[in-house]
Amino acid sequence: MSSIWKKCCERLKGDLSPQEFNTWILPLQASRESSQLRLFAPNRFVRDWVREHYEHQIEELCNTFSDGDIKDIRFEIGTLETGRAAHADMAEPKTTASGPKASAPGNRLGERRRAANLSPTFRFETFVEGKSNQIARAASIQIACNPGTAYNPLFIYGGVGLGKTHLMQAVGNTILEQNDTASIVYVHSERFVSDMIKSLQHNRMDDFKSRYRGVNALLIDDVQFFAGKERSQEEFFHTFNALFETGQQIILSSDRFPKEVSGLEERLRSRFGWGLTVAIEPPDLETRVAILQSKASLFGIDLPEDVAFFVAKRLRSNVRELEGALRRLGANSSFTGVAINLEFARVALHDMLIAQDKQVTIENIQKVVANYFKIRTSDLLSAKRTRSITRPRQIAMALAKELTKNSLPEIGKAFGGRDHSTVIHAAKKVEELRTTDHLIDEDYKNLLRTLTS
Amino acid sequence: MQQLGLALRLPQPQTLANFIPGRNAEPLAALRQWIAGAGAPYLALHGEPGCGKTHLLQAACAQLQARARSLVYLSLAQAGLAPAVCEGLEVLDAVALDDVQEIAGQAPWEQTLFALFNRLQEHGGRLLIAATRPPATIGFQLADLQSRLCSGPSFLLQPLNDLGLDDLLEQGAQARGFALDVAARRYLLSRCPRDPASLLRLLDEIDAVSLAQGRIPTVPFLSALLGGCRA
Repeated sequence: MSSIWKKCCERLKGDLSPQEFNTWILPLQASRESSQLRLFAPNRFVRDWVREHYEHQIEELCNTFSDGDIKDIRFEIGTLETGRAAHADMAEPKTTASGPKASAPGNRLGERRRAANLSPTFRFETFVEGKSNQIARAASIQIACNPGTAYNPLFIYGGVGLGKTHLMQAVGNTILEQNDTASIVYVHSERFVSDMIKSLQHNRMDDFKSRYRGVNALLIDDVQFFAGKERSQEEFFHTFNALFETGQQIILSSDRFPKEVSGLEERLRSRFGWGLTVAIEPPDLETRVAILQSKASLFGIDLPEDVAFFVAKRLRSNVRELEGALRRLGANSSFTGVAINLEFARVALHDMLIAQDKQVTIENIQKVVANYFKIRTSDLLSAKRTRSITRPRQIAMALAKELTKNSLPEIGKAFGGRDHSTVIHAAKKVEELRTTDHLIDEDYKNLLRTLTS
Repeated sequence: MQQLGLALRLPQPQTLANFIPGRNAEPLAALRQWIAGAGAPYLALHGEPGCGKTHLLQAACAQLQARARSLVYLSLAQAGLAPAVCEGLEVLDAVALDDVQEIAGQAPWEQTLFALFNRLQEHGGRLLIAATRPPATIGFQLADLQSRLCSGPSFLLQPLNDLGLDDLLEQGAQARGFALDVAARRYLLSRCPRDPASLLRLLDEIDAVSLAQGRIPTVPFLSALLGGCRA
């Protein structure tokens, strides 16, 4: 980083709010060439925003810190290829071609994987087979062993987070391992579209064509995102034909059956069905348990079977949710040093499992408490001082203090115009009673659970 | 004689050191791991407004910047933003997205975030998000985005209880160069809005007035300043 720019950043950090600085100044990269300072923004939007809001300030600061040596400041779009290698201590280094270059012969497979956009974690060995996915898995293994000849194209469809990407990439990884010269590209359809747009903009369509038409296997994820993008569909149509005619493998995935993908040209939809179309269904309970156990072993998490069943029973829709819950359990367990068990999982995943999307308000608390003690809400707000009313009122006030952000005067006011000191007294009284009277403690816990779950 | 204070206020840095953990030791530990580049490359924090999400995202940015990482912080609640602001961010080492719930239901934004998530994954970049609700209940229309945002650990940030708010007042006053004794803090907590942002604004006001009047912020001073009781 240019030392002038470093000084500018230090000053701007003090002058701007942290949010402003981290949003607009932090992503800029600088390079100085004699009297010119070039500032690179990651995109046009950021560049234009910076010019509109901070150009004058930046110019003044550069002028001050360079004693007038910087005569020209350019605001550009792009990135400097610096610093990546210095980040080698990141636990999970960047994996693209622009990432740290590993040139040892043993890493050749790693380089080919990176060039193909494949993740080494997606393998057949780590894919858990169940009734819901066994045909898709078997077809993928067949293709990995006989690319371009077994089934072409392979079209995998199913809901989100069920393993389509895993299977596609497992095929890619296997082909790369079995064939030293095979060239593969895995892309998300959205990436295909944006690559094409960039190539058109920079007049580099020949490069684009040779990248996508010169491979032995093209794996395109979520083709439903081609919907409505006519130019991209046109280009993909020709890519498809070029690969198909030369016997190269094509694997596609989508969230639905080819004929049901709306917004796609008929000629594409029909081609998608030329080979083999396989579905992946949501996994059954046993498969979800097996997936959790497999991922737990991959992440080095000790997951008892009853906990795996508990999580799998609660999270049914997709594998990503299971993974999120598992990672959460692993993080909590490693932080607390407590082994994962059923009770631990219940507590750790409480907020994930029970969507806490209800806003707790004083009014809501009053309604729930009144209902619980079988009295009227108006009783809570009244001047009545009988035990059957005062106790619920005190509990409701204590709950309002604990669960809402209202000030104590606001809470007092909402309970029939009482003083803030009454709220303090009520909260103290309830706290005291909860230690001496287990029935009140039970009531309080029940109400807390009702209001927060 | 009244002391005239200069209208200068240095923004209070939001760091991990001055974050009051309260009941949030676990999310804090997870965030430290994320900053260190350990564990999952994607982390979500959720909690109601005022529970410290923005503070933690800013603190994470400061830590990563100190480690010479390239990164960006984006609050999706900021006026004037368009999805184009996310283009090319995957080349950065880390992206911190705040107020993610704001774009739920907006197809162009959801698709942009979905693409950004995929690209960051391809590039090995790290993603930190914050929202008022866990990703599974934010209400995204694009199932692909929702499922991806559910793939990492999501931690609930609990709002500060009275003990935490008391720490906040004590440390906040210290950071502003004055002291608030226990009685003064108790006085404020029993009479003023108890969300951290309001309390910090109140500290700014106390700071300015006590300096101007040359008075120590005791309970009588606070009582006079707040006009007895402030709801």
